[in-house]
Amino acid sequence: MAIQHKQNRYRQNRRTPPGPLAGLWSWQYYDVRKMFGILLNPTVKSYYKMFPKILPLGSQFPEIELEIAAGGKINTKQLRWKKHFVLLTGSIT
Amino acid sequence: MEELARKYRDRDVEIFLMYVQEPHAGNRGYRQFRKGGFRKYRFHESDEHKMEVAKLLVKKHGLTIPCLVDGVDEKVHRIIGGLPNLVYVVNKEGEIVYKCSWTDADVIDDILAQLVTADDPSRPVQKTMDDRRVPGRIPVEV
Repeated sequence: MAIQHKQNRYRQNRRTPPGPLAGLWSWQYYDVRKMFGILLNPTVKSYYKMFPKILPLGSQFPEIELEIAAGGKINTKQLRWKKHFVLLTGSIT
Repeated sequence: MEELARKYRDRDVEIFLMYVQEPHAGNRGYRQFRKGGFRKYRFHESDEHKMEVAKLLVKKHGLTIPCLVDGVDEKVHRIIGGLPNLVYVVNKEGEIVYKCSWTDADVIDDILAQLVTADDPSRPVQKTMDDRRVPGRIPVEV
C-alpha cells in the first residue's frame, strides 16, 4: 500500500532545514562563503536531485544488513511480513 | 522519534536510526565549531571509529531505538540516497510507503497512524503529534 502524502512532493524537494526564515536561522548561513559553498555544491545538489528517483514510492526496500551499536545485527529481511519499519539517518553534528 | 517508538511499539512498528557520516565534522572548519562544540567530531577514520562515535550518540541522547551503523565506506547509505536526514517508511510487505529528504516526526506519526489503522481497523490510532512545521518555508520545486 502506497500512501501518497499530500505534502510528499513538497517535502521531498525541500532542501532547507526546518525553522523560521525558511531555514535561514541555521548556523550554516552565518558564514556567507560556506552558505554559497553548500547551496552551489554540485555533489550536494546531485544527491538531492537524485533522491526522488532512488527507491521510488511503492518499490521494494532493498534487503540490507547493518550492525547495531548496542550489539548484534539487523537484516530488513527479518522484518518482512512481521513489522512496519521506519529508517531514518542522523548524526551528532 | 523516541516518542513515536513508544507509541507504536505494540503495533508492530520498529524505528531505526542509521548513524551516518558527520555532515558538519570539525575537519570542515565551520565557524561555529572553531571554539569547540562539534569540533571534536571529525570524519570517521575506520569502522571502529564510526562505531565508537555511534555509541557516543546513543549515550549522549539516551536513545532507546536501535542505532544502526554502516561501514565507513557508506555503502548502504549511498544505496538509500546518501542524504544526512532522510527517512523511509516501509510496510510489512517491504514496500516503501513514504520517503523524504528531511525527517519530520509529525509526518511520520501521520503515516504510521494510517498504516497501523489499516492493519487493524478495530483499534484505530490517531496522529497525536502537533504539526511542527513552521510557516515561512519555501518549497523548492524540481
